[in-house]
Amino acid sequence: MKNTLGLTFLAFGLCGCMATTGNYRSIGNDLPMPRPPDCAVLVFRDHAPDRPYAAISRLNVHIEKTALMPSDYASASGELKKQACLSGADAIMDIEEKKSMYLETRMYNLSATGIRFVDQAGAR
Amino acid sequence: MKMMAIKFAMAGCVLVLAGCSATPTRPTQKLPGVVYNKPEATVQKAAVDALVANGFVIDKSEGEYIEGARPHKFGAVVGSGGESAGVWLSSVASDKTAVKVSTAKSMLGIVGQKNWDKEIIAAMDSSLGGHQ
Repeated sequence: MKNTLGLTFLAFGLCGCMATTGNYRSIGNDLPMPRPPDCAVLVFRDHAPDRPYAAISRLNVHIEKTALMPSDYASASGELKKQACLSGADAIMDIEEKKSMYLETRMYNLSATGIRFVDQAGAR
Repeated sequence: MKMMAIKFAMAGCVLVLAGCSATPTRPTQKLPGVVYNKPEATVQKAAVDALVANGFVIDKSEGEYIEGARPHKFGAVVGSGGESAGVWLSSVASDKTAVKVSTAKSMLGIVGQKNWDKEIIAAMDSSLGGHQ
Protein backbone atom coordinates (compact mmCIF):
# COMPACT_ATOMS: atom_id res chain seq x y z
CA MET A 1 0.00 0.00 0.00
CA LYS A 2 2.88 2.35 0.86
CA ASN A 3 4.46 1.68 -2.52
CA THR A 4 1.20 2.38 -4.30
CA LEU A 5 0.76 5.68 -2.52
CA GLY A 6 4.39 6.54 -3.17
CA LEU A 7 4.03 5.87 -6.89
CA THR A 8 0.87 7.91 -7.04
CA PHE A 9 2.49 10.92 -5.35
CA LEU A 10 5.61 10.54 -7.50
CA ALA A 11 3.53 10.58 -10.68
CA PHE A 12 1.59 13.62 -9.54
CA GLY A 13 4.83 15.28 -8.48
CA LEU A 14 6.24 14.74 -11.95
CA CYS A 15 3.26 16.64 -13.36
CA GLY A 16 5.11 19.70 -12.17
CA CYS A 17 5.50 22.11 -9.32
CA MET A 18 7.24 24.52 -11.63
CA ALA A 19 6.68 25.93 -15.10
CA THR A 20 9.17 27.61 -17.40
CA THR A 21 7.90 29.33 -20.51
CA GLY A 22 10.14 31.02 -23.03
CA ASN A 23 9.27 32.80 -26.23
CA TYR A 24 10.22 35.55 -28.63
CA ARG A 25 8.50 37.83 -31.10
CA SER A 26 9.75 39.89 -33.97
CA ILE A 27 10.20 43.63 -33.46
CA GLY A 28 10.24 44.47 -37.16
CA ASN A 29 8.50 42.93 -40.11
CA ASP A 30 10.68 39.86 -40.38
CA LEU A 31 13.22 37.87 -38.44
CA PRO A 32 16.53 36.55 -39.77
CA MET A 33 17.10 32.80 -40.06
CA PRO A 34 16.97 31.06 -36.66
CA ARG A 35 20.29 29.93 -35.21
CA PRO A 36 20.89 26.59 -33.45
CA PRO A 37 19.29 26.61 -29.95
CA ASP A 38 22.70 26.27 -28.28
CA CYS A 39 24.45 28.99 -30.29
CA ALA A 40 26.81 31.51 -28.68
CA VAL A 41 25.04 34.69 -27.60
CA LEU A 42 26.72 37.80 -26.21
CA VAL A 43 25.08 39.37 -23.16
CA PHE A 44 25.17 43.14 -22.59
CA ARG A 45 23.75 43.60 -19.10
CA ASP A 46 24.99 47.08 -18.24
CA HIS A 47 25.95 48.75 -21.48
CA ALA A 48 25.15 48.84 -25.18
CA PRO A 49 27.49 47.17 -27.68
CA ASP A 50 30.13 49.38 -29.29
CA ARG A 51 29.37 47.90 -32.73
CA PRO A 52 26.42 48.88 -34.92
CA TYR A 53 23.38 46.70 -34.29
CA ALA A 54 19.67 46.40 -34.99
CA ALA A 55 17.03 45.29 -32.48
CA ILE A 56 15.22 42.33 -33.99
CA SER A 57 13.28 40.53 -31.25
CA ARG A 58 11.64 40.78 -27.83
CA LEU A 59 12.57 37.83 -25.64
CA ASN A 60 10.81 36.60 -22.52
CA VAL A 61 11.32 33.83 -20.00
CA HIS A 62 8.85 33.24 -17.18
CA ILE A 63 9.49 30.84 -14.32
CA GLU A 64 6.97 29.93 -11.63
CA LYS A 65 7.68 27.63 -8.72
CA THR A 66 5.33 26.60 -5.95
CA ALA A 67 6.21 25.75 -2.33
CA LEU A 68 7.96 29.15 -2.05
CA MET A 69 10.95 28.01 -4.11
CA PRO A 70 12.78 31.03 -5.57
CA SER A 71 14.22 31.55 -9.06
CA ASP A 72 16.99 33.84 -10.21
CA TYR A 73 18.85 35.09 -13.27
CA ALA A 74 21.03 31.98 -13.40
CA SER A 75 18.00 29.70 -13.68
CA ALA A 76 16.45 31.71 -16.53
CA SER A 77 19.44 32.95 -18.54
CA GLY A 78 19.91 29.65 -20.41
CA GLU A 79 16.36 29.74 -21.75
CA LEU A 80 16.73 33.45 -22.59
CA LYS A 81 19.84 32.71 -24.68
CA LYS A 82 18.02 29.83 -26.39
CA GLN A 83 15.16 32.15 -27.35
CA ALA A 84 17.71 34.67 -28.65
CA CYS A 85 19.25 31.97 -30.85
CA LEU A 86 15.86 30.86 -32.15
CA SER A 87 15.04 34.45 -33.07
CA GLY A 88 18.34 34.74 -34.97
CA ALA A 89 19.93 37.23 -32.54
CA ASP A 90 23.68 37.61 -32.03
CA ALA A 91 23.35 39.20 -28.60
CA ILE A 92 20.90 40.35 -25.93
CA MET A 93 20.57 43.69 -24.15
CA ASP A 94 18.05 45.77 -22.14
CA ILE A 95 17.66 42.90 -19.69
CA GLU A 96 14.82 43.37 -17.20
CA GLU A 97 14.08 41.19 -14.17
CA LYS A 98 10.77 41.12 -12.29
CA LYS A 99 9.91 39.09 -9.23
CA SER A 100 6.47 38.63 -7.72
CA MET A 101 4.60 36.23 -5.53
CA TYR A 102 1.08 34.87 -5.07
CA LEU A 103 0.20 32.54 -2.20
CA GLU A 104 2.88 29.83 -2.32
CA THR A 105 3.99 30.57 -5.90
CA ARG A 106 7.04 32.64 -6.66
CA MET A 107 7.28 34.16 -10.13
CA TYR A 108 10.39 35.33 -11.93
CA ASN A 109 10.24 37.09 -15.28
CA LEU A 110 13.24 37.89 -17.43
CA SER A 111 12.84 39.94 -20.60
CA ALA A 112 15.36 41.34 -23.03
CA THR A 113 15.88 42.65 -26.54
CA GLY A 114 17.54 40.42 -29.11
CA ILE A 115 19.95 42.26 -31.41
CA ARG A 116 21.81 41.43 -34.55
CA PHE A 117 25.09 43.11 -35.44
CA VAL A 118 25.08 45.10 -38.63
CA ASP A 119 28.14 44.88 -40.84
CA GLN A 120 29.68 47.93 -42.48
CA ALA A 121 27.72 47.40 -45.67
CA GLY A 122 24.55 47.72 -43.62
CA ALA A 123 23.41 44.12 -44.07
CA ARG A 124 22.14 42.20 -41.05
CA MET B 1 -2.71 -2.77 -7.73
CA LYS B 2 0.47 -0.95 -8.71
CA MET B 3 -0.63 -0.79 -12.32
CA MET B 4 -3.98 0.63 -11.24
CA ALA B 5 -2.26 3.35 -9.24
CA ILE B 6 0.05 4.23 -12.12
CA LYS B 7 -2.86 4.37 -14.56
CA PHE B 8 -4.82 6.56 -12.15
CA ALA B 9 -1.87 8.92 -11.70
CA MET B 10 -1.17 9.08 -15.43
CA ALA B 11 -4.82 9.85 -16.13
CA GLY B 12 -4.63 12.61 -13.55
CA CYS B 13 -1.51 14.02 -15.19
CA VAL B 14 -3.08 13.99 -18.63
CA LEU B 15 -6.19 15.66 -17.26
CA VAL B 16 -4.15 18.39 -15.63
CA LEU B 17 -1.65 18.93 -18.40
CA ALA B 18 -4.38 18.92 -21.02
CA GLY B 19 -5.48 22.17 -19.50
CA CYS B 20 -8.95 21.93 -17.99
CA SER B 21 -8.97 25.69 -18.34
CA ALA B 22 -12.10 27.79 -18.70
CA THR B 23 -12.71 30.03 -21.70
CA PRO B 24 -12.72 33.73 -20.89
CA THR B 25 -15.94 35.56 -21.67
CA ARG B 26 -16.01 39.02 -23.20
CA PRO B 27 -16.93 41.71 -20.65
CA THR B 28 -20.29 43.33 -21.27
CA GLN B 29 -20.56 46.60 -23.20
CA LYS B 30 -21.49 48.40 -19.96
CA LEU B 31 -18.17 47.64 -18.32
CA PRO B 32 -15.66 50.31 -19.32
CA GLY B 33 -12.42 49.14 -20.85
CA VAL B 34 -9.27 51.19 -21.15
CA VAL B 35 -8.18 53.24 -24.16
CA TYR B 36 -4.63 53.66 -25.38
CA ASN B 37 -3.51 56.44 -27.70
CA LYS B 38 -1.79 53.93 -29.95
CA PRO B 39 -2.70 52.10 -33.16
CA GLU B 40 -4.25 48.66 -32.83
CA ALA B 41 -1.17 46.82 -34.13
CA THR B 42 1.01 48.38 -31.43
CA VAL B 43 -1.51 47.59 -28.69
CA GLN B 44 -1.84 44.02 -29.96
CA LYS B 45 1.91 43.45 -29.53
CA ALA B 46 1.79 44.99 -26.06
CA ALA B 47 -1.11 42.69 -25.12
CA VAL B 48 0.86 39.62 -26.20
CA ASP B 49 3.88 40.82 -24.21
CA ALA B 50 1.69 41.51 -21.17
CA LEU B 51 0.19 38.03 -21.19
CA VAL B 52 3.58 36.39 -21.63
CA ALA B 53 5.11 38.52 -18.84
CA ASN B 54 2.42 37.19 -16.49
CA GLY B 55 3.12 33.56 -17.29
CA PHE B 56 0.41 32.97 -19.91
CA VAL B 57 1.08 30.74 -22.89
CA ILE B 58 -0.53 32.31 -25.96
CA ASP B 59 -3.22 30.08 -27.48
CA LYS B 60 -4.85 32.52 -29.89
CA SER B 61 -3.66 35.76 -31.43
CA GLU B 62 -6.22 36.76 -34.01
CA GLY B 63 -5.90 40.46 -34.66
CA GLU B 64 -8.50 41.85 -32.26
CA TYR B 65 -8.48 38.92 -29.82
CA ILE B 66 -5.61 37.41 -27.85
CA GLU B 67 -6.04 34.50 -25.47
CA GLY B 68 -3.60 32.74 -23.18
CA ALA B 69 -3.58 30.17 -20.38
CA ARG B 70 -1.31 29.70 -17.39
CA PRO B 71 0.08 26.16 -16.88
CA HIS B 72 -1.11 24.23 -13.83
CA LYS B 73 1.42 23.64 -11.08
CA PHE B 74 1.11 21.44 -8.04
CA GLY B 75 2.19 22.92 -4.75
CA ALA B 76 2.70 22.11 -1.11
CA VAL B 77 -0.70 23.62 -0.25
CA VAL B 78 -2.74 25.03 -3.13
CA GLY B 79 -0.53 25.11 -6.24
CA SER B 80 -1.23 27.68 -8.93
CA GLY B 81 -2.06 28.22 -12.58
CA GLY B 82 -4.97 27.10 -14.72
CA GLU B 83 -6.35 30.56 -15.41
CA SER B 84 -7.15 31.75 -18.93
CA ALA B 85 -7.26 35.37 -20.00
CA GLY B 86 -8.72 37.05 -23.03
CA VAL B 87 -7.81 40.50 -24.34
CA TRP B 88 -10.26 42.15 -26.75
CA LEU B 89 -9.15 45.10 -28.86
CA SER B 90 -11.23 47.50 -30.88
CA SER B 91 -10.00 50.40 -32.90
CA VAL B 92 -11.64 53.67 -31.81
CA ALA B 93 -9.63 55.84 -34.20
CA SER B 94 -6.46 55.40 -36.25
CA ASP B 95 -4.37 56.06 -33.15
CA LYS B 96 -6.78 55.03 -30.39
CA THR B 97 -7.50 51.47 -29.31
CA ALA B 98 -9.94 50.28 -26.68
CA VAL B 99 -9.00 47.23 -24.62
CA LYS B 100 -11.03 44.87 -22.45
CA VAL B 101 -9.49 42.09 -20.38
CA SER B 102 -11.14 39.15 -18.68
CA THR B 103 -9.68 36.30 -16.63
CA ALA B 104 -11.45 32.95 -16.31
CA LYS B 105 -10.69 30.48 -13.53
CA SER B 106 -10.92 26.74 -14.03
CA MET B 107 -12.57 24.30 -11.64
CA LEU B 108 -9.34 22.41 -11.06
CA GLY B 109 -7.09 24.24 -8.60
CA ILE B 110 -9.38 27.28 -8.28
CA VAL B 111 -8.09 27.98 -4.75
CA GLY B 112 -4.63 28.82 -6.09
CA GLN B 113 -5.91 30.96 -8.95
CA LYS B 114 -6.35 34.69 -9.20
CA ASN B 115 -7.79 37.39 -11.43
CA TRP B 116 -5.00 38.75 -13.65
CA ASP B 117 -6.87 41.66 -15.27
CA LYS B 118 -5.04 44.37 -13.30
CA GLU B 119 -1.61 42.84 -13.85
CA ILE B 120 -2.22 42.52 -17.60
CA ILE B 121 -3.36 46.15 -17.88
CA ALA B 122 -0.40 47.27 -15.74
CA ALA B 123 2.04 45.43 -18.02
CA MET B 124 0.42 47.03 -21.06
CA ASP B 125 0.61 50.44 -19.36
CA SER B 126 4.33 50.05 -18.78
CA SER B 127 5.04 49.30 -22.43
CA LEU B 128 2.52 51.72 -23.96
CA GLY B 129 2.89 54.57 -21.50
CA GLY B 130 -0.41 54.49 -19.64
CA HIS B 131 -4.05 54.53 -20.67
CA GLN B 132 -6.83 57.15 -20.63
